[in-house]
Amino acid sequence: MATEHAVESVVVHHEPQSFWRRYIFSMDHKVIAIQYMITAGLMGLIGLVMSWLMRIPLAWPGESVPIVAKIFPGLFEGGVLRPDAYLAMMTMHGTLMVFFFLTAILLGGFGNLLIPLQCGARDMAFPFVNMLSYWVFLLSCLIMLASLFVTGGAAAAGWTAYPPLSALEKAVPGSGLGQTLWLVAMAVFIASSVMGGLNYITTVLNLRTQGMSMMRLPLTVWALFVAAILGLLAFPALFAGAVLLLLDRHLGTSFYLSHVVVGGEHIVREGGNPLLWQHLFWFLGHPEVYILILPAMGIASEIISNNARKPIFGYRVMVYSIIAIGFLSFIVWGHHMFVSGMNIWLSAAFTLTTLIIAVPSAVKTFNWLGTLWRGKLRFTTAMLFAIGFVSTFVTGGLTGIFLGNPTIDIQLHDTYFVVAHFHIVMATSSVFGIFAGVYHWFPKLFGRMMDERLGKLHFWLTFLGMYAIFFPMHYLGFMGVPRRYYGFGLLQYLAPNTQDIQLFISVAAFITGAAQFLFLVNLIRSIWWGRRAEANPWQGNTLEWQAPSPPPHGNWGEKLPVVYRWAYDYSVAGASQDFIPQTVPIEQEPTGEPGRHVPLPTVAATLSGDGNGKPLQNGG
Amino acid sequence: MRPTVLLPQRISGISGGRGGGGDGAPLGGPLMPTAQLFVWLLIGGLTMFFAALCSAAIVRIGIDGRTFLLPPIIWVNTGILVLSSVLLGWAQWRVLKGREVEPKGLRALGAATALGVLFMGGQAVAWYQLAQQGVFLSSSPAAGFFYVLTAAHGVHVVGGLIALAVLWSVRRRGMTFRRRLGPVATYWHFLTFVWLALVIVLQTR
Repeated sequence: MATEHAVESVVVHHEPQSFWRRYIFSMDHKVIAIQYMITAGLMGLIGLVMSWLMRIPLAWPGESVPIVAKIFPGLFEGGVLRPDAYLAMMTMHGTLMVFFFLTAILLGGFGNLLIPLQCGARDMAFPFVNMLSYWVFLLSCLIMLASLFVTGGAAAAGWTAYPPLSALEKAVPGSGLGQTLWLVAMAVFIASSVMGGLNYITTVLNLRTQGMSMMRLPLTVWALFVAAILGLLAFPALFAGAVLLLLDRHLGTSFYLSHVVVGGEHIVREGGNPLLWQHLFWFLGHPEVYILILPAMGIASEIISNNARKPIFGYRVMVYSIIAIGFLSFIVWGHHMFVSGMNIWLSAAFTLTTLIIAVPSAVKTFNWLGTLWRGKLRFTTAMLFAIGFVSTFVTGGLTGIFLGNPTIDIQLHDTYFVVAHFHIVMATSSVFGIFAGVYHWFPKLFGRMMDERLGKLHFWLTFLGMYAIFFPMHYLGFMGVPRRYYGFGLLQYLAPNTQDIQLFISVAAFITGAAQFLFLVNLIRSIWWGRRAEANPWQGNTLEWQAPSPPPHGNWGEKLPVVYRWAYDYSVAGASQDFIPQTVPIEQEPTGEPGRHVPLPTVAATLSGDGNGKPLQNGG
Repeated sequence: MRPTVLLPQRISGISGGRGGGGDGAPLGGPLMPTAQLFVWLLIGGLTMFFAALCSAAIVRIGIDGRTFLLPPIIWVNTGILVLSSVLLGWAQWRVLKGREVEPKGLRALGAATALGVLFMGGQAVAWYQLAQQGVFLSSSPAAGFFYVLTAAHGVHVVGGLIALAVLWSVRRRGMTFRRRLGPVATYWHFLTFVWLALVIVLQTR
């Protein structure tokens, strides 16, 4: 093993000079992060437009909307969205948002940006694999988007792709080539995310800089690390499931299919079981929602601590909660299948594990509140979104306790109550984490500040809008409105006012969606014309703020940073300012790091008498 | 020569690792070399992949049972793959023990690779024997799983063979060879373990 001296001497890294190597086929984690963010952001935008299209017939059933129909002629008939197009939009909205937007931007975007920077590494462990991961991801995006343009349209079996709808080519128009492309795109996406995940985990374990022990990692890195492990262990199950489904569709096997009659035609298959897919799908599907929420939690923790100017409350417990949530996420998948006729004792077991997840989640929530409590709060846009995250996480999390209980879930299953639950707890919360992260780290990425006034307007419209969209859905669910339906004309039991609520939701969705263009305008404008940002505009402690904005290729110049303390030394008693970067030696400033309340005595401290710094209000 | 590839494991990996030292405490190196860690993580993901397939197979075959005979050659193939793994292990031991990459170790590596190729040939024969029985992919769930599991394993064995071939191509570059031998061998042993597990799953009825 070489000495530190030798380490520094091999820092000969050549920055690629050509445009192609530098910005397109780049192996620099920051460029790849931006590539992921742009691509995933575009996919999110497409998903947003799809949700608008879905909301049109829900608000105005059967009414013609010629203007929109002109823009999307393939989806409309006589000015009305076709039912099969509705199903395709619903399926693709879910798929694009969950995998191609949220997963990609959180792990691919923020993972790439923050893991090397906050660990003090020069890049990912395997830069080439990292680049490959992005390009394979782009390929999967293109395959998925291509499915919108094939005969029969895109897949229409829901983002969960349950057989037989997804297994029989003639089930619905989208069950043909569209569904095949969906499966292929998912398989390619999984390959990409596994490549990414291997990189993230390896980088965290092996490339941390000197002094950066695991228990000094910022919570963002911890959350991304555990999310990457979840992805690495959960996605392969869906890959296996997708392979079997493709064989069922094209090579006549019957893993998921038994004898069925479609449109009077008998399709003879030997006793396959569609529930097998549900198990394989949800074995990924449930960890997947934690793949989305954990990074958002990490981002919120970091931003809340930074803007409350206080150490994160209960750092160690936060880490253990992340790990506990990650572990539990693997043994709760059955709660998606309570109505599938599973053994009642099995559902009791899944209920138990599901409700246990509330414990680490509540621990985290109270720790965020504890961090905010009596802090010197700075309400930056990022902070607002982080607090908004806590709000939506609590609101949506509470309904999870309802749905985790089979006696209630069987009643509410497949109603708008479920739609409300997961859109608030998983979708909105993750999106808030993303917005918080973009507003917070934008100066680091581009060396310029985003407009705070526009940002705050964006926040309030989004925050109120999200609640306006999803909160009424709880009532729709109570009233028995089934999800995924194109029209409700035949459901006589529905109260007439459900239609009014649908109209309200749609209008709210159009306005909230439109508000996102404020963000786009702000983003694009700030990249070129934003106020110049200094290296550490938020007075942060983590390592990325010690690098220039934007950081150069290789991040750290000649010498790697050396870490002396945890990431949360804010407002330490006796310190010269209210933040102490991780690179400041313990001899210079006191620390509130858990377990190190009493710093080593130093000459300076002995002379002055109070250089030690008192233990913080709380440290862990 | 790699002009533009930043090799962070070389640049910062040495000072990375278990950290804990920013106060002048001695450094702990990384737990294991980065490539080795990569392979272990890959094995974690692949284990989940094969576990998902196997659990599906166990449940499905358990319902309808298996109505055909397993092609007898898979027992020969099993022996071949285990022998290949043992030889590779022996090559590892020879190479890591001595200072030089010696001919005996290299011969064992070559033999292990050749046995891997032979294993793949044997698997092809197994498919042929099964087809002779009139058992095809779509005949029954048990048959489907036989083909799916052997194919899924086979694809990964092909990857392993490519890795072994690449390893063979750097046999004269001492340090590179030694650094790569461990991860490649770990992956190869994993494939042997997977195959043993698959055989147990496949022979259930």
